[in-house]
Amino acid sequence: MTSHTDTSAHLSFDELCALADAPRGVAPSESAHAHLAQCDDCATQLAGLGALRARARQLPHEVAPPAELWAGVRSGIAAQERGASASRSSFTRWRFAAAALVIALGSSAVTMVAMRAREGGMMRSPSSRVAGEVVSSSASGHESRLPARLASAELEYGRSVESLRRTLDERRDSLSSSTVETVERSLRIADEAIAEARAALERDPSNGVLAQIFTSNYERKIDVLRRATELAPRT
Amino acid sequence: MRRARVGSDSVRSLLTAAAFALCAMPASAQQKVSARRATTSDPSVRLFASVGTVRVIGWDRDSVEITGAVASGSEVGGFGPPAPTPVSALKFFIEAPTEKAGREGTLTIRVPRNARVWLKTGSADLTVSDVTGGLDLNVVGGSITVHGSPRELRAESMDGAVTIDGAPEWARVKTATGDISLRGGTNVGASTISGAIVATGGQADHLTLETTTGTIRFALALARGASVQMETHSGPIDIQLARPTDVEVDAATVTGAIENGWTRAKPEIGREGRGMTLTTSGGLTAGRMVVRSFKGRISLRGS
Amino acid sequence: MSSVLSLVQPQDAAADQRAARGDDALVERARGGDVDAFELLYHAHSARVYSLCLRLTGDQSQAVELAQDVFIRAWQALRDFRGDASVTTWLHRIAVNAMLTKRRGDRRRSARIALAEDDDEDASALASGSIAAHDVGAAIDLERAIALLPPGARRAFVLHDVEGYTHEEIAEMTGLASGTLRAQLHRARQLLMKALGP
Repeated sequence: MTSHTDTSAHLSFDELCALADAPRGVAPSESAHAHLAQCDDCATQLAGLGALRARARQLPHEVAPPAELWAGVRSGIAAQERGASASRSSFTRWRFAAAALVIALGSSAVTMVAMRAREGGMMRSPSSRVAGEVVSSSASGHESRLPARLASAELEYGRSVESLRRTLDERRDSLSSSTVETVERSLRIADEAIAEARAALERDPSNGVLAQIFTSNYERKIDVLRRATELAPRT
Repeated sequence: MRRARVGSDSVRSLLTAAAFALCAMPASAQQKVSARRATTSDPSVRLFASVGTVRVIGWDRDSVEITGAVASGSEVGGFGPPAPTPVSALKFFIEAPTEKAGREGTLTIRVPRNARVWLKTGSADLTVSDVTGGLDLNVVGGSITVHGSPRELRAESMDGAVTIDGAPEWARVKTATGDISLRGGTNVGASTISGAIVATGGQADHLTLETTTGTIRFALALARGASVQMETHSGPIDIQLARPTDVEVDAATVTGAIENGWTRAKPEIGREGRGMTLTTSGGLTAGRMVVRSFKGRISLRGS
Repeated sequence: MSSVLSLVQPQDAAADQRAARGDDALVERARGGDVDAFELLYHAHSARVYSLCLRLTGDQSQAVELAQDVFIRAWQALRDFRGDASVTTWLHRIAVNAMLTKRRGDRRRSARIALAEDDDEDASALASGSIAAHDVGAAIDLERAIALLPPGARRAFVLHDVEGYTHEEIAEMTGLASGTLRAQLHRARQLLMKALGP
């Protein structure tokens, strides 16, 4: 705002903005004050600026993001962690892998899933499998039609499951039979759900809802296994 | 569990080899335990206990007091000689001689309200009340009940039920087969394989409920801009929402049915003619509710 | 030693302090790799960040992408967060920076000759005058009008008039000169007043 403004000339929009932005208690210059007193246009514009600023201030400052946003953040962090080779537990690592594949799921190329079949172990005799135990597609004899990223994540899951099962086997004697039964029952339920979801995904590989349910089922299975490995002895 | 070693001079020293005072009773009876230590107002208290019942009570004193009767022959370990000043960390254990003996006895621990309590038991029924700090609770066959609204809560059980009678700021509740009962909270997640999840009687802000085969029953009020996610594989999901509730609902099944008795929006047939979807819209600051099930029925009801 | 008066705090200030203490603890834990703590920070601040991203981009899908980018960058930058600003302000800075970086990257990737930041300012519907007050009627929503602003003007208006940052703070966030920012802000106001009508 110029100190030599002709009171008969309108205030520029920049001058009006400066007036609107002036801190409380700071009065306009005499010339601006005089002009505003006799110019309805400028006074109206100034009032309009004030009203606009007031409306802007009242806009909500919080808007809930989509629920899936966190999953995207988590997968991005996981990608960084994998790149940085951060030392995390395998439990945390596979959770990130799961989130990553859900977000990245798309029309990826078909690939073979070669998940190692588990042999022996606490939950079954060497010669038999627990009913519904998830097995590798190669072991079941058919080619997987899961999207590449999903198949890759399932490979990670398989490794985590195998590692956790080995730990459980080592601790088998320290756990009560009822605990073993609870864990075994839960794993059977999880495996049935995983198998059902996988079969549906192979028929409809681009179904994001299915992919989410498939990975969630795996995550819950691995969570139960992990918690079982951390149980106190004689429990 | 690692046995106590001689602690350092630091007030944060861990277990010492010395057992704390106990009163020996005849072999067939239980043995009493009792100890009290001055602490800071927000100590870290770690307890491993194989007993039948454990009660944790928050109180307004800057001290931890443990009393009770445990199975005869139990090995106990705790804090060593009293420190000259209040301590900020305590760690102790009670280990029963047999699995059966581990289901006997009762322990009561009083801690400053703002304490952080880590508690691991076998088959104990665990009750916590009036602790507003942090709770990390782990049982196998016993139940967990938390009264009040701790700042942070982690509660894990295998087949015992977990009941949260309060609104924690942050909570993660997990079981394998045990049922979970919640009253909402600020940031809460509940996960189970076959347990049922019931969320009623409070308000949800950020909430995630998931079960593979169990049922989900949701009847919480929604905070402004709330974010709720629910998922099952085969368990039904029953959702009760007040009319009106400013929330965008995004529900989808792979093969299950969806019923909407809450608004006039009609569910539609899903992909490839299987399953169903339902979406409703809300205002600019509406909450969001994402509901997924493979083959469970999703029902929305108005109240 | 605190004065007696400092013990009597307005409720908002006390709540802010509690929130700040909570954030400090979470930042500290997240720095150590605690993702649960970072998730808590996310949930505490995501609504504020997302609302800024919505207004900066004017587009929901871009806002989601930007918000995601903000938190991923925040995870990387945790070790550099010194607590000299609130977590919200820090995240907002990251959002503005991420948006600027993306826009520069988009321009490099496009087949067009690289332009100064404001050269596509006239491309917006509001700026071109293709939408005037009489076209949209008196009931046009302020949010929609903001979304139609040219990018630089939108950014200046959102940060100053909506979020309440000062010119100096915005200059620090964006790396632009105060004079440029003022010009963008005034232009935004002019366009909005014209579009919204009396």
